Amino acid sequence: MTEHTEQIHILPGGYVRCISNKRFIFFKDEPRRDEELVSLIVGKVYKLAPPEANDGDLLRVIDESGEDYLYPASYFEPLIVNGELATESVMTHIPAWLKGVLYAEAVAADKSVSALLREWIEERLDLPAPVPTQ
Amino acid sequence: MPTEDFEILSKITRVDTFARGPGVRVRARLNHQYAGGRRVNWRHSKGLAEVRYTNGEIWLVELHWFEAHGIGRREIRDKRKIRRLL
Repeated sequence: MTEHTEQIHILPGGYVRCISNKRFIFFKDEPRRDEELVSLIVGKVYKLAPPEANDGDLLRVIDESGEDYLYPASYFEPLIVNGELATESVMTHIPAWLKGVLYAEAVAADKSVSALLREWIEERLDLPAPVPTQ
Repeated sequence: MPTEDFEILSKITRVDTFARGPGVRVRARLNHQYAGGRRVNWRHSKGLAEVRYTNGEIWLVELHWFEAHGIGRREIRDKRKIRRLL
């Protein structure tokens, strides 16, 4: 039983979650082998690039290569922002002086370092706040 | 499970390699998937071809792919639709 609020928001653009990485481009007379692309990982979130003039209903996705390519929209689902509890962690290595600066900034803002970093991440990514569902 | 089928109808022309070796960011995953874990010198190349999309439209398209000696072209992807042909 979860206690988190039933808030949900679908990001209007910007991020999508991969639900298929099956190969989809073949030469005309080539057998359709059931291959998985290494350029997409199912379950991972990818950033959309601005569409170009002729993209049509394909999605321009920045894939594992770091470049943007056109993929079928059916290979992705919207990334859902909901009110779930913060259960995931991100670890990074930083110099001791930077950790000191983060601590000092957190003290000055009367927040924990974690709360301050979450706030900075949300500001930097300009994500919409979760909104209640009907 | 979604299924899509984009068909390359022509030979790929104006082929050019724009990255190789360490410049190929996903080379470790390519080695795992296509080279049985061997370290292979992958090249990231591009070219032009006619492609028929699932909706029946045919376009001149810029394609990108990875290729390596003895393995061939892998991961052909659609960089941009240049001009509609049909």
